[in-house]
Amino acid sequence: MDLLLDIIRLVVSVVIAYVVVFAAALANIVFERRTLAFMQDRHGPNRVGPHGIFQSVADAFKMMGKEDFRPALADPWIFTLAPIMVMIGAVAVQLTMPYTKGFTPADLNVGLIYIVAVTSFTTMAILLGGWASRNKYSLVGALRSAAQMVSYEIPMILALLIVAMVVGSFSLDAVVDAQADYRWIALYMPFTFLLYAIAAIAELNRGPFDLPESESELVSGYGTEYSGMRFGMFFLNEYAGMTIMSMVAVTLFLGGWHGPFEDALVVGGVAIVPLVWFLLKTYVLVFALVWVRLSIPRLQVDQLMAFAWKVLIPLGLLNIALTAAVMLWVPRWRWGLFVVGWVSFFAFVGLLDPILKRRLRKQRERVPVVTS
Amino acid sequence: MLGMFKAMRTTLRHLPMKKITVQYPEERPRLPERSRGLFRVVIDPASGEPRCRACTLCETNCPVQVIRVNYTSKYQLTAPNVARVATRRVEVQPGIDLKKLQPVLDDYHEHGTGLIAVLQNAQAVYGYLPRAALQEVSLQTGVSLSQIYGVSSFYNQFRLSPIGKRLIDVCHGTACHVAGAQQITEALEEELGVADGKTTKDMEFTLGSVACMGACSQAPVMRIGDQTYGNLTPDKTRKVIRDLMEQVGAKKG
Amino acid sequence: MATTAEDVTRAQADRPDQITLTIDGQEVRCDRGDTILEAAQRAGIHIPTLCYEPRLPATAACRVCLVEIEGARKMAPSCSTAAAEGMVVQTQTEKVRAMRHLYLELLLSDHNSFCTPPCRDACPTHIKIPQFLDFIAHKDYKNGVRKLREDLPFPSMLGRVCPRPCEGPCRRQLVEHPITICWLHRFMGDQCLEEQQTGELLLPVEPKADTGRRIAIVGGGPAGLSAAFYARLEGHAVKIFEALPKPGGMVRYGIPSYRMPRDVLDKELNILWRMGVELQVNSRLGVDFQLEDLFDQGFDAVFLALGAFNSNTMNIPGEDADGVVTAIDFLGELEITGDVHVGEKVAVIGGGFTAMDACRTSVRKGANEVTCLYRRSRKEMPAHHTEVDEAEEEGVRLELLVAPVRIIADEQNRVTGIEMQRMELGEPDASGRRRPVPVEGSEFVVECDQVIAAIGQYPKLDGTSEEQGVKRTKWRTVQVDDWTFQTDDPRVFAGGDVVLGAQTVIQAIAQGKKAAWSVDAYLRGADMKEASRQLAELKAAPFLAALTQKTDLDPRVARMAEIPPVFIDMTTDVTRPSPPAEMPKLGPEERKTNFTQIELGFPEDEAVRGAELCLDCYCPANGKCDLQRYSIEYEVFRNRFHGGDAHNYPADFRHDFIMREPNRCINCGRCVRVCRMEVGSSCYDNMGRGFDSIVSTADNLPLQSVGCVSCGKCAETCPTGAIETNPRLLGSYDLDESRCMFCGECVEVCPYDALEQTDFFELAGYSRTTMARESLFVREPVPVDPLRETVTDLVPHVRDSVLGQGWVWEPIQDDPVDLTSGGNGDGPGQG
Repeated sequence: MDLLLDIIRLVVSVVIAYVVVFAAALANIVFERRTLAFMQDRHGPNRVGPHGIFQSVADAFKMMGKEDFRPALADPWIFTLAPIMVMIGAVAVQLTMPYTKGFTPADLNVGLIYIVAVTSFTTMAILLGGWASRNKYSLVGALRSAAQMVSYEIPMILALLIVAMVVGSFSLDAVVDAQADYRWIALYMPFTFLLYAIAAIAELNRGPFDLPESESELVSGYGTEYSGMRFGMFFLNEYAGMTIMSMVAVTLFLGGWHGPFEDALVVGGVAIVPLVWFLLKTYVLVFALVWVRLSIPRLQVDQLMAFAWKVLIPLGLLNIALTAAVMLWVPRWRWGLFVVGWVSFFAFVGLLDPILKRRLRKQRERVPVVTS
Repeated sequence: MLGMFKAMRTTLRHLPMKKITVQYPEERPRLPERSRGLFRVVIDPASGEPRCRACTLCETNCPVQVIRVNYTSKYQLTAPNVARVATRRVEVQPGIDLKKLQPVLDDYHEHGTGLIAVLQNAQAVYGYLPRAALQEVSLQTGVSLSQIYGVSSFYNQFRLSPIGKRLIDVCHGTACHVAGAQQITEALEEELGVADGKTTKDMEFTLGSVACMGACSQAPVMRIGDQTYGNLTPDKTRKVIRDLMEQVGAKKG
Repeated sequence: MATTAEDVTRAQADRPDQITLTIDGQEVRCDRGDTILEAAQRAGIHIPTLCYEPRLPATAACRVCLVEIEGARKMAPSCSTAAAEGMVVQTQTEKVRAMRHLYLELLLSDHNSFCTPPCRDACPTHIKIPQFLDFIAHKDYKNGVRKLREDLPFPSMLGRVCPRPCEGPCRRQLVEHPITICWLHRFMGDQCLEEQQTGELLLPVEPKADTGRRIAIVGGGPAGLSAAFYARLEGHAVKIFEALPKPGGMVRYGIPSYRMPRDVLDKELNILWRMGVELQVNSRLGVDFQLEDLFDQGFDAVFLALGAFNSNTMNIPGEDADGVVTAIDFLGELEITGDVHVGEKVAVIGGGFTAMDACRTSVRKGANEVTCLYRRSRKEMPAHHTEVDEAEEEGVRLELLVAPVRIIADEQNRVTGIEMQRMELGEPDASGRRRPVPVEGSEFVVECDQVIAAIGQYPKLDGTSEEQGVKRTKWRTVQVDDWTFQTDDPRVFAGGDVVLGAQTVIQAIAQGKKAAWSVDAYLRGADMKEASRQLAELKAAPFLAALTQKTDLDPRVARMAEIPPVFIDMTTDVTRPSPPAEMPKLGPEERKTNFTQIELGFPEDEAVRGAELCLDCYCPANGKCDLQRYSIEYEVFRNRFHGGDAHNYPADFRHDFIMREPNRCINCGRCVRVCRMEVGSSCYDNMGRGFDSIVSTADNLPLQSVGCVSCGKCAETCPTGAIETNPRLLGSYDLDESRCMFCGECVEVCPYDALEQTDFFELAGYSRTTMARESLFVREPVPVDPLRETVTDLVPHVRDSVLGQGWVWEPIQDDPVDLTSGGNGDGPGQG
């Protein structure tokens, strides 16, 4: 009997999780389309439902209505499995997020590592999808995408490690608690936050790092053979990932559910106000993701990989070294971190451009541009 | 990096700006004044009536013939709205062989002679200027038919209706007039049964008067074809013409 | 290089190629290369032009734009003379005006079309004479009667008694003789008289719906009857109160039955009763009822048509003698009682219609000797000359230039003679007739036993009073407003002899008609004072201004307007005279013993022939014609160039839209040039030479065969009425949007800017299966007027050609285009 209840509880919670993720993804789609439109001096979809909020629902219906087929030579099981698997990362991570004071669905004491591990599922799903399509170009596109995601996981992990170092624990709740009283980690380690942000955007295949996406829009890519709802799952995963990554960033760097009036409204043991703060901060970051995607031009694939391996990873390592040094040898290490963090932030922002330009010039001197 | 921030600032600035989308169908785009869209009959603001006078030019000219103008005319005229009927050229008159005209027109094309020369040559071919020939001249020279008729009606030399086989010219110059040309003409009128300037019904003779033939010493003079008859009296004239009529089997009238 | 707006304007103002010249003392700036005409137009100085077409090069063909240039020998045409710096130009000197006058005369010397019919103007009630003559020529008597009845209700009556003022100015007299209009409309009325006794009434318009208003008409004479007719047509209830036993007024009781047979009169008036007009006889105003009674009975307005039944007295001693009667009493007694005493020797004093009627009645009643004594000469007798001639034929003796001095009576005071004095004609009096001046010592006696005085009548105004608002004038008539016929009491109107004094029947009828319209306007609430003022203004305005100005006059008021026309002198074709329709009459011996109708009536073909003689003196361009405008301005009222040469061309109405009347063409060549240079179709050219040249199409083909695109530009540019468009009323404009390609051809081609393209592109409502046939304009169907003018109103019959010298104009008979097939589906661009 208990087993049954457990199973039911399990199933129900999984379903709820999936529903929430789906809903969030759908909401994100509309949000992104409208925000993009507004920033482009146009309206975006505003017909379906008041101010177009049901647009994604309509799109979902459309996608579900499409013909469902599978290339004859594709591996049937894996072809079907890949889209299903791709959402696992988002759902699994979601369950561990500290939403509000006193409510974390599943608080793991190795939360940070868990997050990193589970998000790899997406990578695997893409690889599987590309391979199962039995299409050279899909495979190559999938490999490329996977390479990007794998490469950018490292700076992401490096940033997370710093958080863990500062907080002293891998548990997400501990991280949130450590940021009480406005001691947000982003405020005294902005460079780390920036690092994490860039890595997260790249992880999501979004913004200036959306090369795989652009390719699949044009010709190839891992999703070529997928249509209808199968493709829809890949598509939704991206938007679900937006929410998830934003939540993670909020939890780790922006104080989680901390904010004024934390204890104001408590319903059934769950505080409502912090939830609002949490969601608010999350959606500010989602907005930032959209904003960045609109404003910054896409990176080329070689630039992408170079950026990860030659810029972000060395800097991340350097960051760790500096943080560790400060924590060990600076008596008031929090102030030290503050100084180091902001100095490195401004140094990065200010020096990246000139350095890159110099390197380019040097490169051009070595290999002159042929203009005839 | 800073460039990126600048780009992000730009996009953010556009977020609250006025959108350029025109929300059709609630709003309609403001097109320039001379846009060419659907049509409208213009109502004259002064009179409140449409300016259209139903000349049906639009209907005639429409390449796809989608217009029908329905109107009532003040005057009920004999023809139905022939303006709607295409300007079909008048059919060629039967019996006019236009191939005979071609040498004249070839000459025109080669040497660029004037219109009057062309008309003179055309008249030499047919004996008069038939409408079909003039139409052909119009087509090939590019001069409008009305202009050709204007020119040919101006000059006495050009005849627009066929004349008889034989043209009888009675001289009415000063000397002949004094010598009694009028009676000659009257005698001929009587014999032939036609008035001066007209042609007999059997198209044998045309009676005409001319100014002066320069044969004053033999006044009064008449010329039939190439033959000139001088020192005429009415009786002599009658004899001549009667003989001629008998010869060719012509009848009076 | 000018870069700013200021630079541009400055550059333009100081352009070196601008010159200054003086026109009529005014300094004018213009561009170098402008003609004098263009410079003058810029300065607002008007120089007349006829052949000038602004968009085309000038030809100076008409020569009316001549101006005098100081220092030049000859006058120059301003349309084609370039303006030069310092030129001094005069456009209105005596010499220039005289030249323009000459050229206008020359143009009018071959302009066989008159602007406005003088007959219609001379008729007091302005009957549309040429139009009804045309109906007679086409044997369409019914519509002719309808047309006539627009202005005159009684064709058969007036056809017998009218003194025909219309025939005096009839232009046919330039050819041989005025048309016998009066007899012709009598014929037409007679043809339709019987049928209207029981059958359909021939009314000019559909009588309007009953308005519920009632009008009382006091007096059943011509004025009253005419007013009744028109008031009834307006929908008002009308009742006539007649003092005498039968209606007709002076027509019955003053005109004998040999001129006006009573049965015809009764039949004519029967039409009124059939229309619903009520009649009450033997009711005299002031005796049987009073004016206020009428209002008490519920009448909304009263029209006094009392006539003029009082006779002037001779004011000579002995007038009270036995045997002296007035003509009115004399004729009235005959009519009422059937008989009247006539003496052996009758002397009739007077020279008018009444006098003649009295004379001839006396003859018929058996008088041995009838003498008519008149104080002026025969020419000045008011009676129509035919009356006088017929009277003389019947044996009446005329003694002219005599005036009565005294009546000589015997002991029983019976008339035995009348002393007359001879007169001679002196200076003209107020009416324009020469005053008779007595010759001293020329008295003589005319023996007679009956004296009939017929020296004029005046109205009997019993029953009306000044207090009621019926003011009197010094001529013993009623004072009314000139235009509205109202007395001082706005509900009381008056017209006819009671206002004019003794005049003719036709004038009474005219007054009755206009009074009826005035009453109608009053009953519908028009501002009568304002109407009167506006009508007076309209009459006082110059002719062309009055004809063309847009007024906001209520059409009901505007129809009462009198616009005296101005006639310019034009020639007509006089080469084929034909005698007018002659009326067969009874011979004097046959008629002088009885009262049978003298005039027997036309046989039909005589009437038709007589009607065909009409020269159709009307033109649709009346008021719009430049030639007319300048002829009036330069006063071409006497043309020196009348002769026999004027051409008579047939009209060309073979094209449904462009109607050509070459008689009006002045050969200015504008249509030729516009069609050739602007439109490109080149339909026209000048044909013929010299005096015989005329603008026409090639070989006189119909326009549709020579490439006419039916744009109407020739009609627009024509300064006279030679080319007119057939006025068309747009009913609906359909455009099939589903197939339209928005090429805009129709908009570009439209010569009148009547079509435009909007910025509306969407055809969201259309389907591919049904045709989107949009009506861009739909007009409510207008009921077709049965008297809708046919082309016969314009130029009734295509005349035979005149064999002019040189080029012969003949109507084309052999046109192979089959115009009756109603369109053969050929699209444009064929042929």
